[in-house]
Amino acid sequence: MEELLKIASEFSTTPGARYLTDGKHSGQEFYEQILKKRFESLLKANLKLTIDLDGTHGYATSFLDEAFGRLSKDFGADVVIANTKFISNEEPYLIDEIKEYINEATNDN
Amino acid sequence: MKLPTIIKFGLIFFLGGIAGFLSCEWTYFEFDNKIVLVDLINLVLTGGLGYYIATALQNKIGSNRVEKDLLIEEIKKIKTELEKVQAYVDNGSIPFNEVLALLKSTSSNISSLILLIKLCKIQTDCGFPEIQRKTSQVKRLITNSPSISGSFVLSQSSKTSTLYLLKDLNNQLFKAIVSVNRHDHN
Repeated sequence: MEELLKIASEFSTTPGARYLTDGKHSGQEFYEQILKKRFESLLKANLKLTIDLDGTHGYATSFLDEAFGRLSKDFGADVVIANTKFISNEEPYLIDEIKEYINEATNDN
Repeated sequence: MKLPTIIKFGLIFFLGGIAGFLSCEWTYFEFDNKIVLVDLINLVLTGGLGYYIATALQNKIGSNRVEKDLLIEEIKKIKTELEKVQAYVDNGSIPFNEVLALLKSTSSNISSLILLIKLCKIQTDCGFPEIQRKTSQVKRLITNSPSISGSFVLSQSSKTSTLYLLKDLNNQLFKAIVSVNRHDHN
C-alpha cells in the first residue's frame, strides 16, 4: 500500500531554497513540517510514500538536498529508498538526482 | 487548366523541336528515317531518370528540410534560454523563481529534443546527453548557492564555473545546429 504526497498541492508550487532563513517554502520547512512526519507515520504503518514532484515552477538543488538529504540522515538511505517512490513526468532526471542526494547524505555521516 | 508537369515538359520539348525545325536550317543535324532500338531505350531511360530526380528525390529532400528546420528551431529555443541564464549570471542578479522556471524549461526542452532526434532518425554527433549533463551541472551550481531576498548569490568560483559551462554549452549548441543542418539522410 502507498500514500501520495503531491508537493505542488500540499506544500507549494514555488518551492524555495535550503533553510528557513533563505525565505518562504524552504527545503527545511518542507522536511520539518511535512516530509518527516508523513514518512515516519507511514513507516510505522508499514506503508510506502509516493512523492509527486510535478506541478511546481522547478526545484532548487538546495531544496531537494535539504529535504531528502535530511530524510536520509534521519532514517538511513536504504530505508528511505525502500519506502519511497517518486513521480516526475515533467523532469524525469530529478528522480536520479534525489536518489543521489539520499545516498550522498548517508555517506557524509 | 493545370497540366501535369510531365505533359508541360513534353509540350515544351515538342514545341521547341518544331520551332527549331522551322526557324533554323538544321544544317548541322541530319535526320535518319530509321530509329535504333538502343537509342530509343536510352532516350526513354534518361527521360525517366530525369523525371525521377525532378519529382521523387526533390520531394524527399524537401521533407528532410522540414525536419531539420524543426530541430534547428528547437535547438535555438534552448540556446536562447541558456543565454538568458548567462545574462542573469553575468549581471550577478539571479532571480530565484525566474531562473528555476527557465532551467526547468531548458531541461525539458533538451529531453524533448533527444526524443525528436530519435523520431527523425537523425544520427549526428550533436552530443545531447552531454548537453543535458552540463545543463544539470549549471542548475546545481546556481541553485545550490545561497538565496538572499529572492535571488541566488553565487560565490566568485561558482560564477566563473557557471559562466565557463554556459559558454561551452553555447558552443556545443551551435555545433549541434551545424551538425543537424549538414546531416545527410541515407
